[in-house]
Amino acid sequence: MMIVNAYKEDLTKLGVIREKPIVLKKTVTAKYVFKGKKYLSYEDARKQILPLKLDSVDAWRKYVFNNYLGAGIPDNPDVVYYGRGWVSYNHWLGISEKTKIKKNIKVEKVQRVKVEKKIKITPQLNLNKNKKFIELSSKRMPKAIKAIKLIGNLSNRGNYEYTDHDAKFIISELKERLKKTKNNFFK
Amino acid sequence: MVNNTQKRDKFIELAKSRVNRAINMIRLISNLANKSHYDYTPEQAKKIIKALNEEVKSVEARFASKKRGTEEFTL
Repeated sequence: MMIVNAYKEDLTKLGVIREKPIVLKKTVTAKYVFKGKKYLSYEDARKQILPLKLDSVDAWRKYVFNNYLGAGIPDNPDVVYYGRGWVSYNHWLGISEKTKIKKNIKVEKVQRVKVEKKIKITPQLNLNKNKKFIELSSKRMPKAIKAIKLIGNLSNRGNYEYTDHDAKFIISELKERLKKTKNNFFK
Repeated sequence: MVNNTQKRDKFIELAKSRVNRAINMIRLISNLANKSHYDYTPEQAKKIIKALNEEVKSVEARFASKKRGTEEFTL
């Protein structure tokens, strides 16, 4: 034990020993007594809470559940400080209006994505319309493929004279149209 | 012997009509994407796009090959 005490500083630096958490002395100025317990004033308690940077009431409740807050800080400040300087949880945790708004937007987006996913998961195929689609596509696709194949015949240098630029232009034109059709199908 | 300018004219004339025709056919197919008239599964749409893409790619390959003939043949 003596050795440990002698090298305490080094050991804490190395991470072998953890320093004991600083516990606030129970003799603090401006105490409130609530149901037999002593508490700091609202502002003093809030100063202890702000560095934690909790970003929501939920986070606060989780923190309270998992950690020791220190003497004089209530885990239910809304009750303890009611009528003694209590403003709101947002004020207590230091959540500004801006971050609140950002969070709300995020939540909305997440909800929207969820809804969209749900719609995608359960698509209802209109069989009548699908029948029409299959009929027409099986008629039009061979025609389209034939038309594209015919363009390939123009690559014969024995019969036609063209530059690389011409060929590239034709291909890029076709690809662009294809991209548009793809976008139409997967809107 | 066919003149080079004649070959060029022929190419331009045919390319115009054929590319326009192909574009028109592609347009007709993209009409099928209209969900108020037709309905389709993502798989069906993928199939169609894939077939067209492959066709365009093969045309691109034919233009890129420097051989005189159209068909690539190797033993």
